[in-house]
Amino acid sequence: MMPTSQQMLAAMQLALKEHVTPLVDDQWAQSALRSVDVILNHLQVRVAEEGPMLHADTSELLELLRAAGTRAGYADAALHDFLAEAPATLAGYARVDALQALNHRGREIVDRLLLHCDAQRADAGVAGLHADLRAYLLRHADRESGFFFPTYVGRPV
Amino acid sequence: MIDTASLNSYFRQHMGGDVRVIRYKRTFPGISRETFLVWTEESGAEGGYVFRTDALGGPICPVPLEYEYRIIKGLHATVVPVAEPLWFEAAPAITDGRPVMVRRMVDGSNDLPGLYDEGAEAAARRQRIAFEHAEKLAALHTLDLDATGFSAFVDMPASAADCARADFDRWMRIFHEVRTDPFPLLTEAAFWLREHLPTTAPRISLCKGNNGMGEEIWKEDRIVALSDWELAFAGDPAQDWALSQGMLTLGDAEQTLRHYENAAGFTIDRSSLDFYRVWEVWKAVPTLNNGLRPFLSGENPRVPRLNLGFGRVKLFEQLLGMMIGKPIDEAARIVAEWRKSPYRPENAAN
Repeated sequence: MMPTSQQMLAAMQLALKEHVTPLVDDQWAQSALRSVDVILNHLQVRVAEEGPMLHADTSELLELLRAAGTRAGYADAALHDFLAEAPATLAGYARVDALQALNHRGREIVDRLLLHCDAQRADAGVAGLHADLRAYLLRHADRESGFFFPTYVGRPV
Repeated sequence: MIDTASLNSYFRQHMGGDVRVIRYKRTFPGISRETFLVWTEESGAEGGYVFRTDALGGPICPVPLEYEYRIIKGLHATVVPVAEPLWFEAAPAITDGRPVMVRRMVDGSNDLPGLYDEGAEAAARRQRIAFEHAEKLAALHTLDLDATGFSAFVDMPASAADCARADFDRWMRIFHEVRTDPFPLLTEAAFWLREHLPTTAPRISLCKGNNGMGEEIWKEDRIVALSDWELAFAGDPAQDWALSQGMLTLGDAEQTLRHYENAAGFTIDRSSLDFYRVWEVWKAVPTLNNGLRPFLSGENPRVPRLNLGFGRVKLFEQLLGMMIGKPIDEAARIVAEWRKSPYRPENAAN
């Protein structure tokens, strides 16, 4: 069987750790090795989980944004296009880059909806949608948490 | 390309034929901007200069280098210690058009060896160092911004009460200009923070932005130059204390703040300080994310840009997700705990 992407990334990391890092004294080179190590840690989690994460997250976005139009009286061309295109992408085997692009567009609409809710915050119906948007944002952060935490905790450079 | 020959030619062009560059060194880390220490021989004596330019594709902080130069130039005429600014060039050939500023090198170091030693003597030294820093911040924060000319080019809040709101509005504009992702969590966090904006400040001060450990030049435990002014702004002095990078944990925080208050002649509102500690986490996202833009465009495809402009930004987003909706004092405690992670300079030395 083929080694997994995570195994290959981990092997690269080990090679650097065992054979390169001990020989490097220059602080720029040490910093570069630290940075590469962080990226390899990030990729080991992301490569395996990004596709399923984006699929789950974008599926939730689709339901949330479908309801947004009726609940908040919000409509724009980007929302219309997203609602028209997302089901087909999510129904089949989607490439990660296609899911990334779709998720990005969905979250752009969420951002605009947040501004809309903020402008209409006296409206009780909008307040419910706003609460749902916030709950989604926290779930999104939780879904991708493993890509960044604790990987990026440590020396920044 | 920056090398001894090109620096030699550049310094001769500016200072005359008696100058000869004998060596230079790029400082570490210098990811946002590139800083070179340049040593010269001029009329038999040795000279030292600091040559600073934008990194390829632009700096991380969304602030032009000329702004930093103007801040230093304005401060050089005051009691606030800064390196002597010599010249600014918007687009010289030596950097292929990237802006350059040159300052005279100050005799000192941003490192304080032995600072984290154990024992009562070392602890007392740390408190003295915190007091020294507090005195320099007080000198900065009590400058008259009209008399020193800063109000002519630094964004000024309409009143002291408006300091937090003005900073909030300015960074919301920057966020919308520079972000590489929709970051809706940042928008939601901004709504939450907007509800807690401080509505008082002791005065409108020139604030340094990043300050404290690693940012200033020290000699014999005294600050000989406050350095790195790219995030300077006019606002509530409490905000500078939220950015004081280890200075409030160096000794007793309350003693340090009282020492500052005695020197400055006004008090720092502790609840404002809590707010700004959280606000600075939010501001870190557009500040660092701006550095990812040249990475994405291919102008600067280097790993520090990736790690700071993407990974670090997403980490701060995670931190905001942990705090959003909480009382500000509780959120500030979360930030304080988070900042105790081992990479902080004051912990890294242990």
